[in-house]
Amino acid sequence: MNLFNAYSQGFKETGKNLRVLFLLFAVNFVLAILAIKPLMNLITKGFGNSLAVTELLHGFNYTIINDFLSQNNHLFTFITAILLVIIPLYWLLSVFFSGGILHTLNRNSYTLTTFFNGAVANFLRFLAVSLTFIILQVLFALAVFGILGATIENFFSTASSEISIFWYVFSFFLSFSIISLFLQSISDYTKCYLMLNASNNILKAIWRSLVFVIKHFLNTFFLKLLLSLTPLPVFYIWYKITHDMEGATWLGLIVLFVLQQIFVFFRVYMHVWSYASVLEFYSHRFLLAEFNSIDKKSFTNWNNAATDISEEKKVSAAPIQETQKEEDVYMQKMDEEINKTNESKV
Amino acid sequence: MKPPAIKFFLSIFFAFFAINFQAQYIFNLPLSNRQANYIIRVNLNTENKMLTAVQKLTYINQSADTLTELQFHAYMNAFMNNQSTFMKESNRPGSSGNPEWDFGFLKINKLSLADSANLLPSLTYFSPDDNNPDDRTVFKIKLPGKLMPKDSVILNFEFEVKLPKIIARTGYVRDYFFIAQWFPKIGVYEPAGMRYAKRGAWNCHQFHANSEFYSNFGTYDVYITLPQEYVVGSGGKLMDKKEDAKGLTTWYFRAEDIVDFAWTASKRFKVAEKQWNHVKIQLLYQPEHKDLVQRHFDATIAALEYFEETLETFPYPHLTIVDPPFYGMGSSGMEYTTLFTAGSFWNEPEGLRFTEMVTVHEFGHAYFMGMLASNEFEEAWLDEGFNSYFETKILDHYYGKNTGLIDIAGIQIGDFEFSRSGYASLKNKGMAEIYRNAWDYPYGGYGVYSYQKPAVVLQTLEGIVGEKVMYQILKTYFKRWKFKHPSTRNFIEIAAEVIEANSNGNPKFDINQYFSQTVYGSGHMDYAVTDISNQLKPGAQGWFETTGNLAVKNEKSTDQYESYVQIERFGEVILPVEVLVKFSSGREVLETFDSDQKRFRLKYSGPDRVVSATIDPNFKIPLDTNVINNSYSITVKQAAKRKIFATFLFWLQNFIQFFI
Ligand SMILES: [Zn+2]
Repeated sequence: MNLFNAYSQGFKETGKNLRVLFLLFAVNFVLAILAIKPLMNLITKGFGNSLAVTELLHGFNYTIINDFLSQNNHLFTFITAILLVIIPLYWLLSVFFSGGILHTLNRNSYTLTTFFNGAVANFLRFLAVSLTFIILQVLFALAVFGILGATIENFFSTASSEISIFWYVFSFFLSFSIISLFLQSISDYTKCYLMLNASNNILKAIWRSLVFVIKHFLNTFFLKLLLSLTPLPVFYIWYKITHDMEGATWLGLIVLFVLQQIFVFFRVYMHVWSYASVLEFYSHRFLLAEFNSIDKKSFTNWNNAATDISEEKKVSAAPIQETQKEEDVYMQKMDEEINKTNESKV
Repeated sequence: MKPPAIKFFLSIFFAFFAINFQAQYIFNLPLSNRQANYIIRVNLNTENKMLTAVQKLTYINQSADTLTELQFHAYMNAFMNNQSTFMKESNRPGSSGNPEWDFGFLKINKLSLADSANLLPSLTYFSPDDNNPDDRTVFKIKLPGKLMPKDSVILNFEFEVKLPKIIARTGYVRDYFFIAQWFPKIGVYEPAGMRYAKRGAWNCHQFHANSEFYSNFGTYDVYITLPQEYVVGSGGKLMDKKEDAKGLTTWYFRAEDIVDFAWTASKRFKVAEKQWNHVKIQLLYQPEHKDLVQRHFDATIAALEYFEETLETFPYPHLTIVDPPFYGMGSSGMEYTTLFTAGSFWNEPEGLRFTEMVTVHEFGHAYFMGMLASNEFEEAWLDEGFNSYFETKILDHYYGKNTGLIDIAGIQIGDFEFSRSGYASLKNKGMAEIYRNAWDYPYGGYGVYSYQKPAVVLQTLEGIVGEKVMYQILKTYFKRWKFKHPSTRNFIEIAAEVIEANSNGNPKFDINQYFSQTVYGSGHMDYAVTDISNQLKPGAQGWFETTGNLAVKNEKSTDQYESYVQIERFGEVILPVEVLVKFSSGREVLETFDSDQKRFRLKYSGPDRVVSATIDPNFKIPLDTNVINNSYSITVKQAAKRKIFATFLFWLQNFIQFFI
């Protein structure tokens, strides 16, 4: 299993998870609608009976936007307030959902019951992981941009042109992006580990994921990078298709709306795809690694797989008694699985 | 100053006057009255950032008054310390910990008449605007005799300048030098009748945070000596260039009929040249801005063409554009008639027209601060405001009405739209009036009231009188007042004259009232359509007398509507505005609403209802600060709101998805 297999396999697996995809999309849609409704009331009131609003149908109109905003300057406060509520709420929901997403993918059981079981079972541990990584991201951001802030003035006074300043600042953003992707990777594998082991030992999980990510750095990092960059060309194509659409007629508006929502659906798809690919990669590598290191203790949790794996490709998290025999069976199954993957790669 | 320096000084001083320069001229006939003519020989010490110079000023008293005193600008002293009026007004933090190198000064070491009478003891610094005892930006000298009308006086200066780290568009950074406000420059003597002068007096203001120019026309012969690896550009035409054995080069520039002289030097400059008709355009650019060279030329030529068409051909045969390095950005966006600094950055996208904007703007000053040379201290709008109006006209003409400034990633902003928004979105629109001393604007007001609002006021005037008449006004103003320092009053008189000539006996637009509201007054303009009503005309009901008898009538409602459109004025400014009224039958009526009432109803009756009304449908009156309330429709198109809803929803959905 390399990153490209994980990437394509993740895409396929996500496609099977339609119920969950639609649920996630619906949550995004409903939440956004709820948030936008009071904002729209303000906008509607602000325009009153004015015809100016129709000018906006034909595209960007700076004068109208400027006059509207200067007459309705409380709009910014309002939007900020909405965002301050909706972003943490959506984030919390997504932490909850991530347990469900991984669980359905792991079980190959794409029902909402499996989804919610997984979501509930993993919520607290995933919340702890997510908060830990947010703190880590903030700390790294402070460190990276702190250094930038402390050195930029000196760099400014010696730089020969704005080109070197650009690259200097860019290198900090790039460094932070790399660190951020790296942290996100660890966070993803930590979730996989915790879910697969039904473990609450966050620190151990983070440590093992860190080792795992470093050990398979090229695959884990570039898989994350590939997944993060995938929306860009899609957005470009979407923008090219839609940017001349005026939406001035009912039909035009409906087409535009549908295209907008298709893109949002793609973003949701991408979210699940990201988990699916990571899990895909992890299941193979992790199991292999587990066997090689013969880590008996953590192995315990995997034994159930020996019975599962003949029907399902992956393993379940339910622990059962450890026996040498079962290990052998499991090992044999895994070998088959790995060979199968290698064959398909050829 | 140390003794060896004096020796050196004297040697170049005498050497300078010993040389018999070959007289070369740019214009066969002077364009201006050439009241103050300078010959300056200056050495730039690039190591200690010092200028040492000798200057010969020939000043002609062109008034009918006898002068016994002369007044001068010594603007480099604005950067002498943090107590100067400029520093106090601009709230600058002062030194970054290295005052010796951050601040600069102008020190006059010798001042004498041609007959070598020493005038230095009579030199007195004074502060006519604010009595600041620490400000040394203006000085006066007593003449030993009388300077009679039409007589001239020759003054010889020896001075040194310590350059500041670039501030207010002058100084040095590393090996980049932009040398402006650097020599003792004589003030303007205004005889009775000139501008607002009731009796003759000097008009010589201190250097302020927000204004630079009011000077005499004249000629400049400037000899600049500096290490030969430096590339030099100036507001003059390069007449000669000589290298000596010590590795120094002397550049001789001559400029005629300009009001000030600035120059620049840097080792990093690359030179590009372009000929446009009779004008040789030279661009001194940074190597990393090679891709932007053509954009500078295109914008300059666009401006040259536009001004040629609308005012007059640019008369000077030379024009220098300076593209400062990023570390010298403090000198960007500055004008000196035949030299200006632009400002660009590496890889600037074509859809961002900042380079074009600053180029067109600074070039345009040649016509206002340069050739008209109004008093920027007292009437800044005559320069910055008129120039901003032209800047927006040119950018929006060449780069698109709604894309003149920005056209990138679906965001489109016209240059005029942008200027207007600066004023229209101001919370307190009435905090000042346009006509005010530049240093008297409330904090942050200078930009709005001397650039943006004037551009809107002039554009609105154009909307009212029409483009043809507007350009006739501007052309007449320019032709009549070029090289003569006009005032606001002079412009208004010409506007009134041209409008009168074009009125064909029709009831005319009161231009004086227009300017008293918009330039001398601080009120804002905001008309709104606040209501539309359509009622069916009731049938006759009750007792009616017909042919002497009372008879009862009980008619049903007619199929005729009684309608009105309610117009309200929320601002103080009263102007005639057009109102486009649309009816249910498709009929349209364009009315001109000209009333000083705060609330007014336009009434209609007929078989069709009024469906919408729009004030200023063709956006001729951009002075109206709120276009949203300019229209009213009884059936607001829901599609627009739904589109806004869908778009907001889409971006919010994407935005929240980003955080997970
Ligand atoms: Zn300007």
